[in-house]
Amino acid sequence: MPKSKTKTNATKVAVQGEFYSDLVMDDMLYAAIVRSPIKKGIIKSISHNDLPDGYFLYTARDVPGSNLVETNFGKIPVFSEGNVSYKGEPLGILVGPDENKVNELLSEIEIIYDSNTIETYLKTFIDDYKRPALNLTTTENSEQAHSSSSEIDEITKALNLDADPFSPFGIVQEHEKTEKEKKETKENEAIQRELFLSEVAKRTIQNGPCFEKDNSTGVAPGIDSIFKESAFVSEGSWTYSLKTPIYSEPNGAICSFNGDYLTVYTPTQWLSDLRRVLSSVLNIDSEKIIVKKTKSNNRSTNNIWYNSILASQVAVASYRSNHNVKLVYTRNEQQEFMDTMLPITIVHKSGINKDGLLLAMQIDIDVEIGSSNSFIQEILDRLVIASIGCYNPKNIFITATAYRSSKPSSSIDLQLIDSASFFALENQINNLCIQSGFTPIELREKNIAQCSHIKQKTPFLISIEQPTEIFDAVLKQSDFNRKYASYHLDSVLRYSRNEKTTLGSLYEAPLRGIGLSCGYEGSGYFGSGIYSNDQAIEVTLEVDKTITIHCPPASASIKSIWQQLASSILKIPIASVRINSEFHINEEPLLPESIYSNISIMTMLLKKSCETILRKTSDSKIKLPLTIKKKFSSNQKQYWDKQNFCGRPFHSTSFASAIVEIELDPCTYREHIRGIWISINGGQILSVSAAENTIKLCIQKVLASLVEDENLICSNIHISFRQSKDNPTQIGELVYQVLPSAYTEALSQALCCSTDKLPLKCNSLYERLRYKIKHDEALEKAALVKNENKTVDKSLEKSIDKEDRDSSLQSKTEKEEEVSK
Amino acid sequence: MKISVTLNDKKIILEAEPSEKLMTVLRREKLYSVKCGCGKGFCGSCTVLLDNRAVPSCIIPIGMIRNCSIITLEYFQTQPIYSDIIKGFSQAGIQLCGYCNAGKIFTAYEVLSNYYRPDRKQLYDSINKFDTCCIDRDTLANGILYAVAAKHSREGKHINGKK
Repeated sequence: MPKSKTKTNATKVAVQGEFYSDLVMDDMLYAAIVRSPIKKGIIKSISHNDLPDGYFLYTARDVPGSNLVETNFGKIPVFSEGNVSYKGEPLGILVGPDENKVNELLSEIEIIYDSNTIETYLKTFIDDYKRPALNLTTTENSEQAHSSSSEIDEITKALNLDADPFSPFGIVQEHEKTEKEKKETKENEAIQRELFLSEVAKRTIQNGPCFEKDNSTGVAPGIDSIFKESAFVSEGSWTYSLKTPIYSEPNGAICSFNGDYLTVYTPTQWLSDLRRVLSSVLNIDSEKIIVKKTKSNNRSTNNIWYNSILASQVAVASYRSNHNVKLVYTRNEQQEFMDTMLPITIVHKSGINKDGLLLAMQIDIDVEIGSSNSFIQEILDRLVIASIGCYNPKNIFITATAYRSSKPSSSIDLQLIDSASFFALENQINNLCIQSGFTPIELREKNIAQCSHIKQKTPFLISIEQPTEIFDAVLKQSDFNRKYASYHLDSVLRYSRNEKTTLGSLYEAPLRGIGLSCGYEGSGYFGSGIYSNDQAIEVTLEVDKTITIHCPPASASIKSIWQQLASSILKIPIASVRINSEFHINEEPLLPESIYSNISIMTMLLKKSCETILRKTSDSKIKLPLTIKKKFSSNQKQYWDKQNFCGRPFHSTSFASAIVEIELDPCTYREHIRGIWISINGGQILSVSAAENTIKLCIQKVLASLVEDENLICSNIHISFRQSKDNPTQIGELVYQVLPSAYTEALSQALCCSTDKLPLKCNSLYERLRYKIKHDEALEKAALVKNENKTVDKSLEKSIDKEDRDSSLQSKTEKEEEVSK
Repeated sequence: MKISVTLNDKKIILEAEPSEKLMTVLRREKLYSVKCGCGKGFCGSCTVLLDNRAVPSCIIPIGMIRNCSIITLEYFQTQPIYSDIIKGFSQAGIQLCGYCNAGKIFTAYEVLSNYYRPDRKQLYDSINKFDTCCIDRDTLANGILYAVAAKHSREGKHINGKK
C-alpha cells in the first residue's frame, strides 16, 4: 500500500499518481468538519463537554494566521465565527485517532446560537431610535421635540434608513455634502452592501439601432418598439441547473506539519492559490509549504477555489495538534457543498420579421450563487456572450444579474457554463419556428451570420466555420426534415382532434418528437480576469534524442495526443516523448490548471515548438539539449475590448449541431431515445478515435444528468467530424452546448408543450402533461364564459335597443297625437 | 461482532458491527482498491468479487457475508485472467482512471467467466449495471471483447471453442 514519507525538498511541487484518500501516515488523526446548524444567525459558542484524550476541537480562535482568506469575491472565513451565512458553513474541525469515534463525537458537539442575524439587531436598534421620535411628536414642548427629532433625523440619515435596501446608492442627498459626510456615506454604503444587498454582480448589454437616439425627437425608440413591429414574438422562461453526477474521489487533504515545513497532499487544481492561502492562514513562509498534488477529476468551481480553504482547515488542525491530519469529505458533504449547482433562470423575448430574420432579443439572466463564488463575474460574462449564440439579431438587450443567497456556494463548471445560455436560446428559437412556420433549419440558417453572408452586427464576434455543411451532414444522417414534419403534423392533428383533454389519447399512437440545436465551444476566453497571464509550453530535445514536454498537468488522453503529435513531427518513437508536469516554486502556474491547460492553445504551442526544434536540428552543429519555449500572449486589447465588452471573445471556436429523436412510452410517460446525431467542425482532428470516444463519453454524461437519479441510455449514436487543415479546436464540451436543448425540443414536440426546465424528474413528463391539460381546460372554460358573457351582452344590447326603439316609437306616436290634437 | 470470511484466498476473522458496509470494513483492512463512490451501488468504484460474483460492496452489510469468499483487486491482480483483461483494455485504448478500475475490471471478469463468446446484448446487459464514469460504453464493450480474445489466445482456444 502506498505509504508516504515527508520530503524536505521545499522547492518542488510533485504530481502524485495516487489518491490522497488512499494514503496513510504514521500517527495520523482523522478529521471531520463541524458545521453550522442554522442558515442565518450568530454562533455564540462551540464546545464539547467531555472530549476524550487525543481528540481535539479547533475553531477560528486557533487559526495562527488570518482567519479570513482573500478571494476574487471578497473575504471568506476559514472557520466562521459570529455571523453565519448558510447552513453547513464550517465552524471548526474535530480530530482524533479513530475515524468512527470522531464521527460519533461530532454529533455530540454543542453549538449555542442565536437565530437572529446582525440585520435583525440593526433593525431593532433602528426601531429603538424611531420609537421616541414618535412619542415626542405628541409632547407639548415643541422645542425639545424638534431637537430630538432632528437628532433622530441625523441618525436616520447616517444609517441611510430611508434608502431602498436593494439600491446600491441609497437615497440621493439634496444638499451638498461635506468631505466628512461623503466619507460617512461611503462607509454606510459599504455596510449596506455587506449587510443587505443580495445582488453581487451585473452585466448589461444594449446594442442595435433601437438604442440610438432619433435625430428629430432626441429619444431612442427602445427594444419594445421593435417587438411591436415584429411579425412573430416569442417569450419564454428557462431554468437550468444541469450537473453531471461525478462519483470520483471526494475533496479533502492530508496535512503534515513538522515544526518547520508543511506538507499537503490534496487534489488541488490551483497550486498557486493553495500555497498563498496556506501561507496566510498558518502565517508561514510559502517556501516552507510542500504541495503533493494528488489525482483530481472534478472541475467545478467549488472544487477549484474551495480546496485551498479546505486544505487550510486541515493544516490548522495539523499545526495545532502536531500530528498528521487527514480529512475526506463524505459523499453527502461533497454533493451538498462542492458539487451542487443552483439554478440559472433565463427569460427570453425574441421577435422575427416575416422573412424569419431576428429583429430583437431581450434576455434577462438570473444566477443564484449561494453564499459566494470566486468566479462569478466570469460566469456572468460567459452567460451573456453565449446568450445570443451564433445568431445575429439586429437589436439586443441583455441583463445578467448574480444574486447571493443563504445556500452553500453554487458550483459551476466554467467549461460548461455556456450550456445554460444555449439551452434557453435554442429552445427559444424552436418556439419561434413553431409560431412562424419556418423549419428549425431554415430559421437557423437565416440568422447565423456566416450562413446568410450578413456582416455580423452583434458585439461578440464568433467565427463559425462551414455551418451549412454541418447542418447538411446531420440532417441527412437523421432524415430530420421528414421526421420533423410528420411528428409536427401528428401533434397538430392530435390537438385539433381535441385529444388534449384526455390522457387516454396517449394509448393510440406512439408519441414521437425530434429536436435540432446548434452551438459553439469557445476556448481561450480573452475577457477573463483570471486569464490575464500568458500560457507557455517548454519542449526540450535531450542529449539522448528523447523529448521532454514541460507543461501543466493534462488528462491521459490529451497526453497521449501530445505524445503522438510530437512523435509525428519530430519522427521519433512515441516512447521517447515524456511529459513533465513538475514545477519549481517560482514557475508555478498562477491559474487553475483546468483554465490554464487550454488544450487547443497548448496543442498549437506544442506544434510550433516541435517545428522549431525540427528546423534547428537540421543544422548539425546545434548543441543538445535544445530547449524551445513558446508563449501564447492573449493581447487582450487587440481581440477583446474589456471596457466596452465587445470584440472577439475566444481564441478559437468549434461548432456542432445535434439532433435527438425520442419516443414517449404511453404507459409509463417515460422517454426512449431513438437516436442521437452529432456533426462537429473542430478543425484538424489529431486522433479521430480519441475524439469519437470523448464525444461518446460526453453524450453518456449529459444523458446521465438530464433526469435526476436516472441514467438515460441511447445505443443509436452517430458522430461525424468535418475535418479541415485549420488548427485543432477544443471539442470536449460541445455536446453540453447542443444536446440538452435538442432533447427538450424533441420532448416538447412529442408532448405538444414546452419543456422549460432541466434536469427533469422521473415524473416530470406526466406532471407537465397533466398541468397542460388542466391549463387548457381552464383556458377553454374562460373562453366559454367569455362567449356566454358576449351572448348575454348581445341579448342585453338587443333588448336595450328594442326598448329604446319601443320608447322612441311611443314618444313618436305621443308627439303625433299631440300634433293631431 | 466477529465474522469469518475468506478474504483474498485467506481465512480471516473480521471484527465489525453487523450493519457496517463491506466497503468500510475492507478499506479499514487497508484494501484501498475498494473506493468510496456513490454509496448507492451504481458507480462500480467499490466492486469486489463475492463468491465469484461482481457486487458493489457499498450496499452489502458485513453481517450478511459470513463464510463467504471475497476477492479484491489487490489479489485479483495476481491472476492470469487479470492480464488478459488489461491487455484487452489497452488494445481498445482504455485508460483506467484509477478510481473506478474495480467496476470495469470485475465486470469484464464476470462477462469472461459467464460467456464463452458474449454477444452484444450480453455485453451491454453487464456494462449497463453500473455507471462507467470515465469511459464510454462502446469502448468498454470493445475492451471486453479484446479481453475475451486475449483469454482464448492464452488458453490456446480458437474462436469456435475447440483447441
